[in-house]
Amino acid sequence: MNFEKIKTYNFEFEQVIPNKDYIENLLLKEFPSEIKSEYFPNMFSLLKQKSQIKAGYVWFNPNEVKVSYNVIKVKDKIFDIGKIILRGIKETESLFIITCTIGEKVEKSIWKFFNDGNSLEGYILDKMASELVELTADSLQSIIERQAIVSGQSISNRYSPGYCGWAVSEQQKLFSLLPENFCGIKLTPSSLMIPIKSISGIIAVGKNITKKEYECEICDDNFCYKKRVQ
Amino acid sequence: MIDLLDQLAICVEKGKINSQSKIPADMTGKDGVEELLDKLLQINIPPKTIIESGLLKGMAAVGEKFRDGKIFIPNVLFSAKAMNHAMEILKKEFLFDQLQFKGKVILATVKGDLHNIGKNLVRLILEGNGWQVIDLGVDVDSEKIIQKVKETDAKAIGLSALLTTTMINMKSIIEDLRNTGITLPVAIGGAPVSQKFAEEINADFYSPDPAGFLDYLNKNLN
Repeated sequence: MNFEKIKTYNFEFEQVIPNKDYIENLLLKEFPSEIKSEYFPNMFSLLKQKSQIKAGYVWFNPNEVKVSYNVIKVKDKIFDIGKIILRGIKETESLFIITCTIGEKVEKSIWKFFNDGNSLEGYILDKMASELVELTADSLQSIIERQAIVSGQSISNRYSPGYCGWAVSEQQKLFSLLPENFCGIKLTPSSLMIPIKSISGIIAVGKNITKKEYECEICDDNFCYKKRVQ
Repeated sequence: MIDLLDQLAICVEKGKINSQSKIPADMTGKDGVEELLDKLLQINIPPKTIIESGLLKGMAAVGEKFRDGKIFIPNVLFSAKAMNHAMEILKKEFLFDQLQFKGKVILATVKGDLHNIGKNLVRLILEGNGWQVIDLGVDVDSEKIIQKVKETDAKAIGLSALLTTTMINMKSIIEDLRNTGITLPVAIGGAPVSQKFAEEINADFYSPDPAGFLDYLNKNLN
């Protein structure tokens, strides 16, 4: 089955975050309860007010995608994804490149807090913003998964440059396969996405693809940033 | 007096700003930084003593607990908030050039990288422990650092990066510093950075956390 080649979404805040408690629970471990009750309501309102949530994908059909030893070729671009990601997508039949962002207004608020000496507020908003962009990617992934299920296929986890042994510098090739300024995201020469609170990655689709529940536990890349910060 | 200074140190450590503050929950209704400063100033305790024996003592405890994993980043930030609040009050009473800092440290997120939270945290920990920080911000190149070294009497440089694509710029910055004859110790930090990488690029020190950098400065450059 064919998917739409290019699709973008403007999500409402409530579409991505069911309720305030949801994001608070995600941050439960790190923040003492009194800090949460004192600061979270205002920061959550600010997050809602400042977010400009966009997400989208470009789909590459089976003729455009080829997986071989440790690499995946998408059109004329060869990605050195490494063995960890390869394990998750080697059965792929087609591929989505995804991006999502919560825009630059939240970032400006974070910077303002820090510049004004309000580091705690800046830090809380930054953590909330990071969760929001992850939840945005989750929402996009769910949409893709529903489409895949309809066509009798399943999807992989989403994998991003910079994680699981895939070099962040490969963002350049990834973005070269997307329309310019896709979802309002630009890439710097150092492969940093602007706005910073953005996510890019790939999702594989196929009849024999399976999604892993505990990705970091099956990964043996001990130098991975994601593993180190857990 | 010692009792009041000890209480002040505890208030900074726990982030207790005033008696109305709801944080921390186990000190509700008790004196905070504001009330204790008022009491100390009323009995003519010099601001310098208040800072050194109260505020900095509290922040030193915060740094140690954070290093040992007993508290987390939000606690550190809340302590810093109490500390900053106290300093704002004392500014009215005291000329800060009377304060003897341990020395100046230049901090920068390297060229190509716009992440600043890790660097800001290092700044808070160092400032809270008596170091004067010259924060050059983000996306900083060699030229800006070299210029600042020449303008100041900094004792060390701290470089931060969050991306594997930008941490390589630490290498060129260190090379440029050495080629210019600057021998100040350079410490590096950030999620993708490691001890091995520090050795590869001839950095003088690597720490996975701000407290490690503070220890290094206190032991070697104080």
